[in-house]
Amino acid sequence: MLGLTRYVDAAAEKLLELRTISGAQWLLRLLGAGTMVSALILATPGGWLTAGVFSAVALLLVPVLLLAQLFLPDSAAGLAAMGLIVLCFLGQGEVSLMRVGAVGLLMLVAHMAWSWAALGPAHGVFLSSLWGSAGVVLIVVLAGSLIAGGLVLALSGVHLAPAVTVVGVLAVIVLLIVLLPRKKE
Amino acid sequence: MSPTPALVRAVSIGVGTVLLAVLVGRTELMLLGAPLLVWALVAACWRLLHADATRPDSPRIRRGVRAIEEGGSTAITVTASPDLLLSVSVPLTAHADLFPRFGSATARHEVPLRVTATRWGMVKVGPVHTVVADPLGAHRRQHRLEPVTVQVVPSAPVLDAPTEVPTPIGVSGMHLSRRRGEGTALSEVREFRPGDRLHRINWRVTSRTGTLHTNATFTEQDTDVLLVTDTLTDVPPAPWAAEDAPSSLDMTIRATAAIARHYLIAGDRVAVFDLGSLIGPVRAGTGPRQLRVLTEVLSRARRADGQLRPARTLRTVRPGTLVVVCSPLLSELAIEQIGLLRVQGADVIVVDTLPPSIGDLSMLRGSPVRDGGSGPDRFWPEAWALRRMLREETVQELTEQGVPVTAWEGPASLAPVLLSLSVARSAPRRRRG
Repeated sequence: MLGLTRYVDAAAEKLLELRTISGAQWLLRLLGAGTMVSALILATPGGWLTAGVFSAVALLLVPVLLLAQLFLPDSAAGLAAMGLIVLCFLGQGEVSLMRVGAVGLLMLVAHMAWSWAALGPAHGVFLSSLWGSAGVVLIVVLAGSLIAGGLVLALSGVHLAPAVTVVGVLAVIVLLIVLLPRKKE
Repeated sequence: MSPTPALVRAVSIGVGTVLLAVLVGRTELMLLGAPLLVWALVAACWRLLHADATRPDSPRIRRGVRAIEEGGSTAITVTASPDLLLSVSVPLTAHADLFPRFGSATARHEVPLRVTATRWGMVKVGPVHTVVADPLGAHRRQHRLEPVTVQVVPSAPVLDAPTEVPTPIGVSGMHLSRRRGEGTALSEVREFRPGDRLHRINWRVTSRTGTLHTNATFTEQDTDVLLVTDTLTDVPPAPWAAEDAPSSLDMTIRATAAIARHYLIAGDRVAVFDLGSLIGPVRAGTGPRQLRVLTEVLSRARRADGQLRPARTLRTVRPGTLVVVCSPLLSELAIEQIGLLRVQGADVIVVDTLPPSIGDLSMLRGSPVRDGGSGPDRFWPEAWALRRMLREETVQELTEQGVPVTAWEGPASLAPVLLSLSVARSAPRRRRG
């Protein structure tokens, strides 16, 4: 009986620690998890019934990865979850542009929520000056995303020669080099 | 500044989906990664435009008031570049409350923290962990800043007690002495003698008697007040006491501060001698400056840090000095010191600073108290009750020797004792020996 009490006390202590998490952190982490779950649902229409290989793996692993991401917003679990969602679309044929665009925006919101949640510890509060700055950044990124999405939609009807694929890959490599994370002092 | 995992995530997914779209020829897949790619591009542009903000300068700390009273607050502000987000975390500090509650906040450019001290002493806030990041959280840098020390002065309530002393031994002050001389209190009306001051002539009595009569007065003197503090032990309050219940050391320090203030305001010379070497001796002095010196010395005292310090004994004291000993009366050394002071002719008062919850008989249940589950159960309340009962014998012996003992209960603690002392001034005195 004494052993059971010890486990119950330990569990109760862990639950009580949840009270130290600030409201802002709850908001950001749950927002990140919620939008990713929405993205997963949108990426796997029909759920398990019509799931291909990639979709089945995503449906199994993404919830586990999101649980890890809730505790550690800086972890690689978020990257893996997004990667799996992207792979879901590979196994599907023609997909609606609106559905893909919505998933992309949901992943952006989750990504931004996690990046801000990782700024401080779970018990840290966010002061009002930060929300103002975050709001401006969100508007800029959303506007840029809509412009980029419009360009993609405009290009989606254009049929290019296979040789353009090589140029496209080179352009992606250049883009990667430009954006490659570097430590700079 | 270093790239964050968020930047790695955005670049990986963004570039990965674009590459996948190009390779499999499905441009709609670009819509998955385009928003993240835009995010990464905005972060890169921000970094180019704000090169100055990304210099490796550490954030600066600005402290508000350096010294506060118990219960008072001071602000600690950490500042970084105006374009950056700043996250500040400090560990929770004993005997101080932080705002925000758990000592961590994130804001743009500046993070204010507030420290409210609940106990006297030197409160160390820190080390201060800071993270500066761009507004997207794509790049960040960490710094560890040195702790900030805040001096907390013990609260010194105004004592509700008279300032009379049994034996004024100074030159001039506020206390009425038995010696006749220049003063304001009338002692008698007598015949005029050569040397008497003319403005003291009592013309009413002179006109009635036909002989010159003058008013004789008592002189007013100050006195030496010596506060002896017993910091040899620090007895914590009982587990069932209130959360903010003071320990014996807290009561000793606060009583010392209050009594020192009481007599310094009256114009007397006050000195402090510490039996436990925690506070250090303070030479006699008067006035507001001495009060500042005393409160500063008291606030700089560190609580029990496990270090062994030699006990000290006061060998001599000027006869007639008013000595107030603040002690929980648990140490033999303290009791011997009281006896020594009494023998040397000092007027001794003892202020009992043992927490009232210790040895409280009403809490005895006849069953042991759990020691937090880590050790065997203890009959702790019973042990302390026995110790307090043994101590009562000591108190009674001191009282029989003419040393009044009064428990410290705040501003009204000393009033009955000091009143009885001032009454004892006029009582017949017998030789000590």
